[in-house]
Amino acid sequence: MITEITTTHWIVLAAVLFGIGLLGVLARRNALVILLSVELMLNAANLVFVALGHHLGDVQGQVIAMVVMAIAAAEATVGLAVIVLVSRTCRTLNPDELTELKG
Amino acid sequence: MGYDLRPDLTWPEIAMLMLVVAVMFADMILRPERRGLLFGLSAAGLVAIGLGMVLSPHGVGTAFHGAHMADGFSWLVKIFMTCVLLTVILVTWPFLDRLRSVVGTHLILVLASGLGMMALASSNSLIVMFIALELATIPLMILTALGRGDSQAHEAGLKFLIFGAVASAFTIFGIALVWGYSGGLMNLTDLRGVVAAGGAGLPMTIGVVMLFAGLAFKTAIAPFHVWVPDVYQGAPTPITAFLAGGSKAAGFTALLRVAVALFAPGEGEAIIDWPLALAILAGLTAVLGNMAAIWQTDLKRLLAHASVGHAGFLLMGMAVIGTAGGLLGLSALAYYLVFYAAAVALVFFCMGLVSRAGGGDLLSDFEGLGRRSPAIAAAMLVGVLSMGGIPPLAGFTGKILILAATVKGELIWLTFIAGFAMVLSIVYMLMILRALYLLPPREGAVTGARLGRWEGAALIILSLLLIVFGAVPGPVLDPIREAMQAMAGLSPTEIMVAATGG
Repeated sequence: MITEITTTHWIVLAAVLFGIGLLGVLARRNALVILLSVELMLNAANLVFVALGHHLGDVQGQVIAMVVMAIAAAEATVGLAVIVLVSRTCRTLNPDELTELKG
Repeated sequence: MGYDLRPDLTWPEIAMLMLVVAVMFADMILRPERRGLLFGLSAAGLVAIGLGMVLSPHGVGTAFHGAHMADGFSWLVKIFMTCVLLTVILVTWPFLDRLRSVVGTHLILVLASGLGMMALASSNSLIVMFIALELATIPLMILTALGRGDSQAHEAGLKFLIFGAVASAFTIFGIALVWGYSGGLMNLTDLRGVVAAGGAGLPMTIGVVMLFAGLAFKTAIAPFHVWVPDVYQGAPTPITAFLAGGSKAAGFTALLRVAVALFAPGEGEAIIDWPLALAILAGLTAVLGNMAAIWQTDLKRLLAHASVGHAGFLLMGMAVIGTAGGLLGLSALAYYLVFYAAAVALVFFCMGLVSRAGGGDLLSDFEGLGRRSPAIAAAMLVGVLSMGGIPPLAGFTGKILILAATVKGELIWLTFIAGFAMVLSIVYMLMILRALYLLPPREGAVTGARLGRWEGAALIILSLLLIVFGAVPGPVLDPIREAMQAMAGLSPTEIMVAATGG
């Protein structure tokens, strides 16, 4: 029986989130959902920063989490723009059906 | 507490940022038909920054409380980066008409990505390294998707985006673990002390592995190279050159700093034998890349696989860290990288010129080019021979230096694998040569691609670089060796002393 939530629990939770995200990237067949899964992975990293920052009593962890959020937003912006382009020209968002480039 | 800005150390990045902003404003002000001037502005700015760095004595020390590290190594890398950016702008020149309205955007993104690569060379803090990596990568994703405006480019952009985003998620998760489990240390020079004292436990080692995976994506090391062929093929030719030359070099400089700090054997029992792991990955990458290149019919795709092979050779130079061949390996790596980038620029510039005249990117589109456009074919010949490793060109000298480093580092099995990979690379080189000179031109192939005066001069300069410094590597190799010795040899306390000027 868990009586107290320790830092280890947070780290395990973050690892599980990261795993779910990675599974989503590998298994889902829609570029938008893949992008969502990547966001989950990035936020798992944020959870590690915040949890360990709290554990160490170091405010740097929370600051970095904010920075990572900003970068993730930048990445998502570009991602959505590219997805719009692809959906217009290729008429599909399924990476398996995008097979013009191969050799 | 001050900001510790140290403009004497950080001015190349500051100047670069100002150049990006200047081009942005000029793009807004200039009329569309005069946008060719933006090329001049960008090139002049880069030449000024490059010359400034060559002429001014480089400072040694840290800025921003240890996050930014200026040393001989980062100084050399930044000079190299300005050269790469100049050649990318040069390679973009044949596409001026095709780019039309997005010329300004294109140049701004190229320069911004270059700024990220320069910051990456100086990053001593892991979080700065992550931000610089993203700044270098995100514009490249846009450039890949934007340049040609067809479905191939969009598909390449999407693939780059997905792989790149996953890689950055790995990187940041790894950084989080390293930071947390080292007790809140972010600077590589501090972390080096922890690792050397044997303080890297299992969670921190997992973090380092994830960080390495992220950087391995950037540098196209097997098994993280699967995105490379698609993206290189789909991206516009100048951006492919940038990806192959600049982006790979930037990734390797970051990897080098991480390797020096975190992969060195410590006092305690290390969980992963990093030198061995790097050697295995290097051999695998070199053989896989060069083997796959042989089966390609699209020249860009062939060069993409070849660039994976080159990454393998580069990683071999890193695998000998901590052995007797360590210094030679690191110097060989840097030398190889510089002239690999020059050869890439040369070949892709030629491809751009042929493509402007209406030719395609397939290997068969280059059949009989020696008869159709002798000058372009000759320049391409030099680039391809250098990539294939034929003496006395710089590509050969680089490969021999890497081989010598593996022998000196007593990794003889790796030397044999490298030799095998060299033979494979000669095969694909011969395929290109056969297309250029032995096969007759196809029906309806483009003849007499135009070659302007400046374009001819650029081709000659790049070819001469490969020939002269391949035969006489000393003038390039000596400063590299000095800088490498300073970077790899300094202990954290020595860097502190250098930073405070004592």
